[in-house]
Amino acid sequence: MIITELFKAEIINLILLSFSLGITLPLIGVFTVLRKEALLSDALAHVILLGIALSIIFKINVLLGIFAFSILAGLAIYLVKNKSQLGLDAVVGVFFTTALTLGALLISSEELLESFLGNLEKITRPDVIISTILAAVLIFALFYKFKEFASASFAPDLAQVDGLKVQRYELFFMLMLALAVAMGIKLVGTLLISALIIVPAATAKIFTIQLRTMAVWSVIFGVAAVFAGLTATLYWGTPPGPTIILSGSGLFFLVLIGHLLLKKRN
Amino acid sequence: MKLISVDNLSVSFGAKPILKDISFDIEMGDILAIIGPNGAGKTVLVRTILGLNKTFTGQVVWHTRPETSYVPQKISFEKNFPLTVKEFFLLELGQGNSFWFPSAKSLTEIKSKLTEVRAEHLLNFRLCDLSQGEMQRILIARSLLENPQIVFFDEPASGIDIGTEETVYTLLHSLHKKNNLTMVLISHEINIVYRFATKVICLNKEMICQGTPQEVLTADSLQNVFGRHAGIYKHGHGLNIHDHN
Repeated sequence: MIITELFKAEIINLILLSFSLGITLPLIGVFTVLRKEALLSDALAHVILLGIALSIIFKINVLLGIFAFSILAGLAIYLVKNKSQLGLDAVVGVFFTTALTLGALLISSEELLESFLGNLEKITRPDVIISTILAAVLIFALFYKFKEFASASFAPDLAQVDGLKVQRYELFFMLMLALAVAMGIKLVGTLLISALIIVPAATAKIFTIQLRTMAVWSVIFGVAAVFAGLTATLYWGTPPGPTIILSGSGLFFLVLIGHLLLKKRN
Repeated sequence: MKLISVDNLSVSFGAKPILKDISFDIEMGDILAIIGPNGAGKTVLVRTILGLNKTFTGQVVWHTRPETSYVPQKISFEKNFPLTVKEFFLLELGQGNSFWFPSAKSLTEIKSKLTEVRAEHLLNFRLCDLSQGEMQRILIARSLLENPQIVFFDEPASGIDIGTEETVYTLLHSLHKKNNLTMVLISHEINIVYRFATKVICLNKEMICQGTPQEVLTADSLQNVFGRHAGIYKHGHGLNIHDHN
């Protein structure tokens, strides 16, 4: 009886996480590809590593540390990028390496590995609830304001002349990316979270010619990767981050090979 | 009626002066042509008026806020990016979820604007698959969505073949006549400027001359703008500029 209840709870967690992470992160990924800012999520994830280290040292709630550092990092990258002459690559490079170094120095090697690769056992019921609520808000905002985010990302000058507050949308996007990265970090890990943002969008980009279909297929590949990865983790005890990402990469190569074969045949 | 006033506008990028003490007005219904050699600051002037360049001294005053459109020389985007011409237009039209579920009215308007620039066959093509000339036509058609009152064109016919170039300018001219559309256009086509513009400003970092095409497009003023080797000759349709070198 107890085992059945536990199993049911795990299945519910699995479904909620598959949908909340599998939809939100790849949908954000469509815009990071559109903006040519795929490395941004990597920088945010590694700043979060520093947040995890400091949360452990000062014994504060790790999830709180993750969200606080992610949002602060997002704001800092946005400000430095807009106020300095540095390009995004340089800004991301500085944040990425500094935070990674500090995080690695402050955290024990066991916790470091866990932070890198994620740990399903550390996901609590409140984590799942927070992720689900946050995902619902982000998905609604991304879907409803898709046109504005796409305009500001694709041709910002035209969007601004058309009356769109482009800088405001850039800031919103950065904060949404920070929240999405923070949301998935405990499960997927700091090393691999950006893959869940980029790989489904890259898979969809192989064969789609419309932005709308790319977004829809990104979400389908994202949910499939998280669901397959988590199921394997539950049954075989593999670390969740690498299993999810391998599921996503597997889909990527399957789609790529299928696409190339079809192209050859036609 | 005055639409925009530019007063003593100067722009520098670092130590490099781009524009110096530029002053002029744009009136409702004007076709203002901005001419000048490469590096004269024409694009920077237009971008500053549009608020896309924030580092300047002097003043740009918009007396009213009309519906405004802009056709840049080009837009750069990620190679192979899946965005069709139809979607590119839908980014401009409507509110909320109109991008996902476009109305029949939006689709009709898109098709009609594409037909005006002879590009209706490009509706479902990816932007990244278009030639430079096709892209330019798409940008022009997009700028005419939602009936703007003023449109800024940065070399609207660059990359367009001669037959289509004539079509583009004829279209712009008819829109000007029909809707009293105000146009600001950067152009190297002196012949086109002579035929279509109501006002010309000649720029080479500073204002060299301004007035009607008949007043301004003289051999002397063009030599001041383009250098002493430049000259003009008249033919059946207007003027052309040529280089004596």
